[in-house]
Parts: sequence; structure tokens; C-alpha cells
Amino acid sequence: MRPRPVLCAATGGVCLLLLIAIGADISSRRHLDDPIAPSAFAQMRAILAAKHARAVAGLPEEARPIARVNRPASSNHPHSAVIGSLLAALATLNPERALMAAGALTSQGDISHSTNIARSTYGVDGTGVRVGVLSDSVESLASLLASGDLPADTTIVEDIIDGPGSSEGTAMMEIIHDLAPGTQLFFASSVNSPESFAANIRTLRNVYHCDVIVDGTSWSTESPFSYGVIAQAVDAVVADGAVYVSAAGNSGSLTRNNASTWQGDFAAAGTDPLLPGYTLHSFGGQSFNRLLVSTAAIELFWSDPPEASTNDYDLFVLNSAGTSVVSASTNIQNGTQRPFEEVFRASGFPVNSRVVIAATAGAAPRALALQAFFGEALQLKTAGRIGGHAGIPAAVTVAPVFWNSARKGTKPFVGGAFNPTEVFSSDGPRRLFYAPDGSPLTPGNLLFATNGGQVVQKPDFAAADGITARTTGYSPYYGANAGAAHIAGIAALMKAAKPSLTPAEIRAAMASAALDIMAPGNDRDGGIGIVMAPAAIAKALQ
Amino acid sequence: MTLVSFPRFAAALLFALIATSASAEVIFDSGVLAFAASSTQAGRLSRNGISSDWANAKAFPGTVGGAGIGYQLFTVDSGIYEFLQISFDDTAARLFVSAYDGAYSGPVATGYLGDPGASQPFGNSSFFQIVVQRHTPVAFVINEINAGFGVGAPFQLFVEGFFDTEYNDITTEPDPGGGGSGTGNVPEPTSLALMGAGLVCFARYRRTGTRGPRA
Repeated sequence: MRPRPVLCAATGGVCLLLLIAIGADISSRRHLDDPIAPSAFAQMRAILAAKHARAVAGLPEEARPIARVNRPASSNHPHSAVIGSLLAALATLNPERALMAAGALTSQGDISHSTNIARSTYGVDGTGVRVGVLSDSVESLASLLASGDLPADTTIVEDIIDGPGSSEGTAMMEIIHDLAPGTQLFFASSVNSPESFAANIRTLRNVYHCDVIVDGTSWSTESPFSYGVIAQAVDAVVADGAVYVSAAGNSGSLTRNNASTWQGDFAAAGTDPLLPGYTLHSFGGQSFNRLLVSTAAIELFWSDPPEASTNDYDLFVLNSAGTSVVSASTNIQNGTQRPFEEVFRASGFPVNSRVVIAATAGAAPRALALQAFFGEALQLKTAGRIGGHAGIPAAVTVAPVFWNSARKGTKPFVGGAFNPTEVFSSDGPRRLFYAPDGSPLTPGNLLFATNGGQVVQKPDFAAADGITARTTGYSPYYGANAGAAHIAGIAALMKAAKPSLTPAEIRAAMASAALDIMAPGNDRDGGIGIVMAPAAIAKALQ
Repeated sequence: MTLVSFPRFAAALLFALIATSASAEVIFDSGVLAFAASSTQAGRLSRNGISSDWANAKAFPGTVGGAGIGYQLFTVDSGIYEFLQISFDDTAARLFVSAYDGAYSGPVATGYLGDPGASQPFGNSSFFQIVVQRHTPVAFVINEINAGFGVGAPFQLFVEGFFDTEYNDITTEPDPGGGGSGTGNVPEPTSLALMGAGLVCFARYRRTGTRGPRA
């Protein structure tokens, strides 16, 4: 089965339709009345038929469940003339106009992170800094260029090949442009293939010399335990001097009791006549996990070397009574394969299905990571959902916080209990067993129980989401991708204020300027906390 | 910390303080109330998932539901602001907020300005934006989703006013001749003093910043 990209952020458009099509329970997410437009469904089904793998390619880990319904063009807005004249008047009144946020719509995050203050105080707007954005596509580019929500020199390196996408790339770029309007923006698609994603990361750095790169995509084949091609590319560009920002994901957390992962060491639970020849894994008291929500895809990883697994684990989905096999992934691992199994059903596996991990004869115990696409999907759950390239030390990993979570209106974040992470935000920490080159970090010790590998504290920071963007379908714009774009914008301002800053210095300055949220200190839900731009720049200039 | 960076940091702190007090003008805050219908209407707005924003006028989304849907009305003067942002909390997801131009008497299509398109996404406050004339009444309608469904449900309505779409309220009114004697909010003297202090500080920084080397 082909790997599938997962747009981390809550997206609209096609991604949403795919989510709805597979029967994901979205009613608890947002209360709506209108059905999805038939034409949109037809579009989605055509995509499904044309590329079955991409049927879930667009699956967001958490989606804002609305239909993509076209709105009137901005030029038809009855107040466009009023807005234009008002902005023109402001430009006359304020000679520092160039330092103000740009575009007809501005992210509330500009206030939440006080980047408006940072621009004025430090006289920076990102000029001279190049920011690369990796997401699905840029369908809304032309209209946003026309409205001024994106700069004229925005460069498209590579768009989606098998579109359409949701144009989340323009929504992310809008945020960066709002916070750092002087930056030059570059876009490359992250959903064409993992290899293309990795190549585009390197291209953005090596060819287009991007100082800051941000993405909002993960692929289903990305291991939580080792580096794949994407993580290796991230590691390389950071070593070369780029700041790399990645979204934590929207798959829930243990803190919110909606985690969609279970991680732990293999423990034998005996056999099952339904699965002869296997030893079933014990989740602690039972030999199966359960789906609490219908989900389309379930993945299993274990702590064997990447592309060199010698211990053969398989993954099964059984009916709720455990009397029949609904789906199975039984690839052979005998020395040259990746330690990975995945089951997929476009219509979704039924609620209460049993999920079974089974070891073939002779398989040695390994650390396991079972994960489903959506939050609240597993009965037995643990922390640690952040994985793939977002889980490596080099990435600046960002969790989302609603801009108005304090219910004080459009004000700067204050931290603490007023600004918790979103309920759907993915959690850390991450445990890596392998270095970027594939060598074991703790040779011979590949289990959680024996403290094998390296624990990486994730996420790193938190930032605003739920903001207003002009890209069709992104008002409001929820999800970790929106948060990542805000951090990328702040990083661009920091880089503009002091071009010699290294990625490590930017990370350290952000950390010193963060407002602690969630559990005290650096925690698995909000990381070090919410980055505030003025203090971060002040620290960077010291 | 260098001698150069300290004033910058101090300036940042000062601006942060100013921003905390002046980044938005709250022109109405209902506080937490229990829904109590003042009247009823036939049908209500359909929640079609589209949020009104300042760049896009939202088309009337149509109606759903039958007769007897209760609503509670709040009329707010837009004051000196043309750009309003409305936040609405309804933890039970039994209510819905929308905005109308001027008076509202029940017909949901008459004078429609906008709505958030959904109730309580992800448990956050729903919000939307509308563009209005200054110094005009804006009716905010809180209606129950179904007849009798919202009685006693707690909610809070919060309306902010801005001079532009970039959330600025630390500038002067763009059109001084446009009024200012109405009932709308105007910056209080304390706020104006803070603004003045901030501008002086800012100007000082700018001069310093263009001359001195960065730390």
C-alpha cells in the first residue's frame, strides 16, 4: 500500500470531504446544518476513484468539518471600496505603514503573539528573510495576490501533481505574510510523495536559500522511532542553518483522553485459534485494543532498524466479538523491510472493532507504536502521538492554541490556564531509537522498559490557531499547521532582526520568551509554551 | 545584556503593556447570561459552515427549522468602528448568534449581516466579523437551535470594534469629520495618554535604531 500524507491542520475543502466520506464522526466537532454540496462529493469521489491512495492522502488528522463552498469573489465585496479607501487613508496617516501587517485580512495571531508590537518596536518586517512553506497546494494563490494577502514575489517551486488540494499552502503563507510582511515566500507541495516532500525540503534550502521552512504534512509511513527520508532532509537543512518548523498534529492527547496511539513493549498474551501461528500482544489485561471511533487507517511500527527489520509483526482488525478477521496487514519482515504494517478501509473500520498486534514465531520483543488517524480512536491509549519528522530534535514542533482561548477578545496571549492547547492537539514526548543515519542510539537496547533510545521532548512550542484567513475554506483556520505558520513568521522576524542567528539560537530565544501553559515547565502538550515575539527578539538581540 | 539591547527590551515591555490595554475596543460584553427568549421567529439561519469575515460578505445562508424558535436580542451601537468582531460562547451548543443591520423583528432574511456558520467549533468560542457603518445600531440575535431547546442555556456575547482589518485601534479615527458625538465608545483619556507615551517611545527608538549598531 502506498504511504499517505496527512495534512496536520484542520483543513477544509477536499480533505474535509474525504474525511466525511469515510464516515468519520464529526458531529461532535462542530455543529452544522447543511449537507455537503453534491458537486463537492462528486469531486471527491472522482479523486477517490482516480487515485485510491490519495483517497486518504488528504485525510487530515483532525479536520474542521465544513464543506468547501465558494464564496463571492473579494472584488464583489460590497465593502471592498470602503476597505480600500480606509487602508489608503491609514497609509497616509501612518508613514510606518510598511511595518504594519499586510493584506485585507490579518490573522488574530498577529495580536496574540504581539508580532505587531515586535515589528514596530524593532523596526523589522522580515525583509531579507526567505520562508519556504510545504503543504498541499495553492489554488487560491491568484486571488490572494490580487487582494494583497500574499506578496507579488511569492514563488511556487512545485505545486500538487494530482490535485485539487485544499490550498492550505496559501493559508499558511497568509499567516506568515501577516506577521512578517517583508519576507519572500516560497511554496512547494508536500503531498506528491514522501521522496518529493524530502526533495522539496532540500530544494527550498539549497536552491532557494530559505532561512525558515515550515510544513504541515506527515506521511503514514513515517516511523516514530527512526528517521525516514523526510526527517533526514529536515535534519540536513537545519544542520545547514535553516530553521525548520513543523506541526505537532491534531490527533489528540493522553491529557485530553482522546489519544489515538498506544506505545509500549511487546508482551506475550498467548494465542488465538483465529490467528494460528501467532503470539498475540498483551495491551495489559487484554490481547486487543478497540476503536472508539470509526477510522480509515491504522498503523503499527516497531523498533527494528529502518529498512532492515528482522522481527515479523503483523496487524489485524477483528470484528467486535473477535470472531472474524475484518482486515489484516501481514507483510514479511526478514531483514530488508521496514518495520511497518498498515490496514486501511476507505469507508472506515467499524466502531468497537478489535485491533490485534501479533508476532510471528521467533520475533524478538520490540517497542511498539500503534496509531490511528483520529483522536479518540483507541480504547487503550498512551501519550506520544507526535512522530515522524515532527518528532526529531532538529524540528521546531508546534501545538495549536485558540487565539481567543482566554475569552478576552483580540489581546496578546497571557499563558497559564487562560491559553491551553486545543483539545485535538497531539502530544509528546517522542522516543527515538535510531540516529539520522540509521545507526542505533542504544545498540541492543530497543525497549521502553529498559530505557532504550533517546527521549525527545515534544512539542517544542505552542502558537495561535482558529484564526481568520482569506484562503477559501480557512475562515476560521484551526489546527497545528496554523500554529506552525505563526512560529515561522516569528522566526522570520527574529532572523530579520539579527541575520546571524543560528537555528539553535532562535530556538533558545523563543524558549526564553515563552509563556508557560498546560503542565508547569516543558510538558508533553504545550512544550515550553507560547512564543511571544517582542521578548523573543529582545532575547535574540542580547 | 548590552547597553543597546536594554532600551529595546524596555520599549518592548512598554508596548506590550500598551497592547494589553489597547489592542481592541470591547464595545459590548453581555457577561454570562441564561438564555431567555424575548420573542419567537419562524425558522432560523442555517449553519452552513461559512464564517463571515471582513473580506467576504457572506450570502444569506437560508433557513431551517419550524415555528416557535425563541430569540434574545441585543442592540449595540457600532460607535466609531466599522469593523466588528463578534465572539460567542455557548458551551451547551444550543444557541446560535447572528448580526443584523439596525432593528430585528423576526424575519431572518431582512437586514442580515453575518454569522459564524457553526456553533462552538472544537469547544472554542464561535466568532465572525462584519463591516458596518459607524454610529449605527447593530442587532445581535441569539436564537435557540430548536424551539424550546435553549431555555436557560448559558451564553456570553462579546463584540469588539476595530478601525481596520488589522486589529489596529491605536491610531486616530480615519475620518475626523465622520462624527464622534454618538453613543459609541471613544478612547478614554488614560488610553490616550498611554498611546502618547508609546508613540514617544517608539519615535525615540526609531531614531536610536537607525543610528546605533545592533547588539
